[in-house]
This record gives sequence, structure tokens and C-alpha cells, in this order.
Amino acid sequence: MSTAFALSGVTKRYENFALRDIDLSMPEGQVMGLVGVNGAGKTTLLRILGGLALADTGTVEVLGHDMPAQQVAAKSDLGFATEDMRLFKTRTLRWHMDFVRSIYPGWDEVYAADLLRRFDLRAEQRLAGFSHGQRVKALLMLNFARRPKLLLLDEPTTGLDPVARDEVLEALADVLRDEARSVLFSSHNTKDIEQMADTITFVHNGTLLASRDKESFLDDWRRVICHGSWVPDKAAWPEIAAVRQNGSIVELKVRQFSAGLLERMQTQGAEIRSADPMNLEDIFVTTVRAGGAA
Amino acid sequence: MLDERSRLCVHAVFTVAGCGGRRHGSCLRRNADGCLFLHSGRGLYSTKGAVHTVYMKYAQIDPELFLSTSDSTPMYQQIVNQITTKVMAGDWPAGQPLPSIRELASASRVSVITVKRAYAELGQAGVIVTRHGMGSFVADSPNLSDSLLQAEFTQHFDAMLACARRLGLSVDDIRQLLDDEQAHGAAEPTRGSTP
Amino acid sequence: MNRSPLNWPVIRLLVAKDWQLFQQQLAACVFGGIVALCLIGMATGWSFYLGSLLLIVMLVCTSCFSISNSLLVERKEHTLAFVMSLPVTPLDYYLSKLIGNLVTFLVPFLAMLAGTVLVILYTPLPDGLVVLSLLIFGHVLLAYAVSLSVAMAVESEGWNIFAMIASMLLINPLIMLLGQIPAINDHVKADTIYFAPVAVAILLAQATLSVVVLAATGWVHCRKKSFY
Repeated sequence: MSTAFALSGVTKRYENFALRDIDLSMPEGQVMGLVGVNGAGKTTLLRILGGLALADTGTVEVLGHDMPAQQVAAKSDLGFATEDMRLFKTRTLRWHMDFVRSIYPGWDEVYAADLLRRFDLRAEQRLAGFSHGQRVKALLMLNFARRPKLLLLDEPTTGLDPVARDEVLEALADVLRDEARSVLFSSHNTKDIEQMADTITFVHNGTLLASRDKESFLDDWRRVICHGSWVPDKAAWPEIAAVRQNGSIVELKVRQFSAGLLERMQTQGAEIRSADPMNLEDIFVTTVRAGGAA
Repeated sequence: MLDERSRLCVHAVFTVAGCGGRRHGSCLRRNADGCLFLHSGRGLYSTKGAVHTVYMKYAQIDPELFLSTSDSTPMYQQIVNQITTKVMAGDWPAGQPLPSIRELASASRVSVITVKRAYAELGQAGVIVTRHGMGSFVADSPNLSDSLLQAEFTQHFDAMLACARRLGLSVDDIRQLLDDEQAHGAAEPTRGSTP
Repeated sequence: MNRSPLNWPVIRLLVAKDWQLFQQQLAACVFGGIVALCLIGMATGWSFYLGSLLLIVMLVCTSCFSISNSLLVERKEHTLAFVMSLPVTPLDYYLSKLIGNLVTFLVPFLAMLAGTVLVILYTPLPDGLVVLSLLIFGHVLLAYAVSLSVAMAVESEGWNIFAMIASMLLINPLIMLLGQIPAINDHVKADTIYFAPVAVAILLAQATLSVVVLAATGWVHCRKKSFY
């Protein structure tokens, strides 16, 4: 199976921030979601993959091309949109569409027209008159309509109203139909990632906390409520990431759940009341607060 | 001997002829040399020789499932539940090809890996069968809806037993409750409730 | 580092894009230049000085608009990230900017230069003015090259504005300096064109420096680590 991208030993230092020793790869045809707080390094990671920033050390391969040496070949099949990227204000969207079409042979005019309609955008309007949501949708439309093999999207749904967000997710779902196309996207909205991603990657303080397939990841985490006076010692129970107690109710956030674990807890005198799956947001916050690997 | 695909297509014709729904699975039988007999149903009958003449495709099905991110049920479980419901209701008859994993994922806006997992669970539960290189199909089991109901019952039954254990109810207590239930009919609500 | 061949089709598109974005201001500058040349051509005292001043203003405007439109605005408005996400290398981008700027600047620049020379030659103005004019135009070209280089290499907007203003304002001391050189000054009011060796040397120095500055910028640009 070929990889959509592979980073190995990648480090990038800025004045106040450093991305350190990133080893990460994604097979073709997958959707990977990047989760992290502001300033965690998501945008830097995407910029390195998009050829907009050079890594200080390490190797970067995108769609089988070495970066930055073969960046033209890589960028030809790459869709790239970051939150702060802008289009030319004085020009119309139609002008941008013609511009992009003249560069990428893969531009699909029919799909572009379809996206225009779905995103409720007017091609003849100048970009200067676009709202934030329309600008984001215009940029995504210019990327989607040329059907790139790898889409790198930084916060594609941030700042969008619920309807626009829904339209964008719908367009993103179009990509899933094609097994040769991959998506790497970051979002503050963990719900979007939980819904669309095959793989979840946690980024924090410039390092990777975790990168695993979503189903087994979500499956491993449980919020366990027990009754009784037993409170686990976290050192002796590495499976437990967080403990809270209020009177006889103990809440445990478990990072490696198994039936065996529940039995062991019961032998300690804990009376298990529930063991429910956790959502991604809860898992992420727990992981960051626990300060360790997920 | 018929190949797999034409066998499935015969199913389709049968459905078109009006023998859809839950009895559908029992409409088709394979004889000793692997050929097909269609029997029962509404008088449609076909043998070896006639089979090829009824080659037709299944009607296209809408691959979109209604999934919700605000539902506390995990996404894959929602898919399992909805497909199971569709199969039990006869929306998707036995032998019906399922949408491809990517098609369903795209239409329902959920990740591919989630659909994969759901299909794997459906396969294990016997609701669907996956044939290498051909995709997945609604299973041919003659009593599919019965076995699904059976599974559902077992699940509730186990949950009930677990709850009873927690309440400290003995087997005799449960038996007593069942007897009371029978005596008073369904009108009387049970006293216990799950926490 | 950038071993892939130059992506000429995209470079051409980027140049065309810069040209389109610049068209209106360019037309205004050329129009202003024509007005200035008319004033100079009237060959009366006041109109000559007014025309010369307007011409220099127009030259400075052309160079500032050209640089700010294609580089500073692109960076400030975050359209740079969009351009760099296209299939281009930093060298491609540099070349597209260089060519784009040279086109958007050199077209009006050369038009005004040719106009100036023609006006001087075909009006009662002394033909000796041609040499001084060429030297002034040479300075504008050099100042433009320096501003362009700073704009490409330095991200700070303040430094860019400083570079543009400072380099252009140096035109005043230059004119005064040229007035101090007898080999040049003595021939300004003559009716024949005389290229003194020192004038030729200055012109050559201006041209060479312009090219060197731009080449050095290309070298610096291709070693940058981020492009957004």
C-alpha cells in the first residue's frame, strides 16, 4: 500500500515554539484528523507537508515525492488550505476558478459548478465582498474541484456557521468515495474529526501524543463510574488516566479498557455502576491533562 | 454451474416478482449440483434451464443512513443497528448487495473505518456476508430475522440478569416476578428499573 | 536543493496574474508620464521643471506600486500562501516575481525613457540633456532593484517602505552630485550628445549593480525556510 505522506524525524524550530521528532505516516485512501490546542503545531505540520515551510531536520515524503526537492510534482496533486490563506480581493471567484483551472489539468468544471451551488457562492462576485464563511468555502471549492490526491486542510470548519459547516463536511465526504484520495485535516471541533477521520492524531506542544485508528482508539477509552471507598493509585493502575472522587462516587477515565480490568477493580471492592464510551473531546482533554501518551 | 453473481441476480428477479420481505430467504434453495430452484412464493418457479433468462440487477438502494453525532451510541453501532433494522424490515432483502464501504461512508458522512467495523460486526452477527472481491450482501439465512430477534433477546436477558445480581435477586425471585407478570398480564408495570 | 526543472507554464501564469492585478495603476502612471512629457516638451522654464518633477514622481510611483502590489500586498493579505501552494518551487516563485516586476515596471519605465529622449531630441530642449536623463533613469532602475530585493528578502513592512523611500530620495543628492562633475554638467546645455567616460562608467555601474542585487536576492530567497 502506498503512503499519502510520511514524516520521519522531522524537527522545526521557531523562536517560541518547536515541532520535535515527528514520525508520522498515513496510507493512501485514509482520512486523518489532527487534534490539538492552539499553538500545538498542527498548522506547522501541515505547512511542512504542503511545502510552505522547510523542516530543519528529518525527511518528508508527500505522495511518493521527496520534499522539498520534488515539491512541484507533489504540489500538483495536493490540495492545501490553511485558515489564514486568502484569495485576491480585487478579483472575482470566476477569475480564481479560471486561474486554478489553467494550472491544474484535473480541474472538473462540472463538479466546480455543483460545489458553487451547494456552497451557495456567486462566481461573479469579487472576493472583497465575501464573508469569512464564503471565503473559506471559496478556497475549499477551488481545492475540491480539481480533485487532488491529498487534501491538507487546516481548520476547514472553524468560524463557519452550522449550515456552512454541514456543507463543507458533505463535500469532504465526497472524497471518501475514491480510495486513491486522502485527507489530513485539523480541527478544534473534535466532533468533525470523530465523524470523518479514520485515524486520529493528537498533537501537543510540538510532539505527537498519539496516532491510532479511530475505532480501536475510541474503543480503548471508557468512563467508569463506581461506588465504594476504593480509589485507585494511578501508579499501580497505568490503565487509568484520571480519577475523581466525590463521596462514594468515583469517576475513572480509563485509557486501556478491558473486561479483565473491571474484574480486577471489583476484586478491590469497587462496585461498577457504568462503563461508557467517551467522546473524542473528552479523551483528548483527559490525555492532555494526564500529561502522557494516550 | 452458476457463478455467484448470477445466483444473486436470480434473487433479484424473485424479489421483483413480489416475494420480498421476510419470507424471502426461504424462497430459494440450492440443489445437489449447485443449481437453483425457486419455489414457493407467488407461483414463480424456475429450474436449471430457465435461470439464465431471468438475469437482472437488484434495484439501486439508497446508501445513506441517518446517523447522529449527538447520539451517545457509537457511530459503528448506529450503522449496525440501522442496517439490522433495514434487513429485519425487509427493506434490504436477502442477497441484496450492500453499498460498498466507501459509498456508504460517503453518503452517510462517516469515516470509512467506522463502516468497515460495522460491516465486520454485521458479518459476525450473520446479518451480512462478505465475498472477497464482490462486496457484501445481506445474508441468506432462512431465519435471519428470528436469529436477530434471538440475539436481541439474549442481550436484554443478560442485562436483566446482571441487574438482578446487583439487586441481589435470586433465581427464585426472578421466577416469582415472571409468574406475577403472567398472572397480572402486561398491564402491570414491573417494579424494578435499571439505574 | 531545487533540482526540479523550472515550471515555466506556471511562472508565465503568475506573471500574467501580476500584470492583471497591476493594470489599472499602471495605466494611471503611464498617463501621468505622458502629461509630464507634454509639460517638458513645452520647453518653457516653469513647464520644464514641473514636467521633470512630475515625471520623477511617476517613475517613483510606478516602482512603488509594482513592488507593493506584487510582493508586499501578497504577503500582507496572505495570498502568498495561496500562490506558494501552487506547483512552484521557491525559485519558480522568485523568477515569476522578478519577471513580473520587470515587466510591470520596465514597460512604463522604458516607455517614459523613450518618451523623454524623443521629447528632448525633437523639441528646442538642448540635446545634451539626454545624458543627464539617462543617468537619472539609471538611478531609478537601481533604486527599484534595491527596493525589489529588500521586498523579497525582508518580511518587515517598515524596512520595505524605508528602502523604497530612501533609495528614491537619493535621486536628489545624485542630481546635485552630477552637477558637480564638469564632464557631465558642461554638456547638459549643449546641442550635441556627449557621453563623458565618467557618465558611461556611472551608467554601467548602475546597470551592473541592479543585476547583482537581483541575483543575490534570488540566492537568498531560495534559502528561505518558510513561504507564507
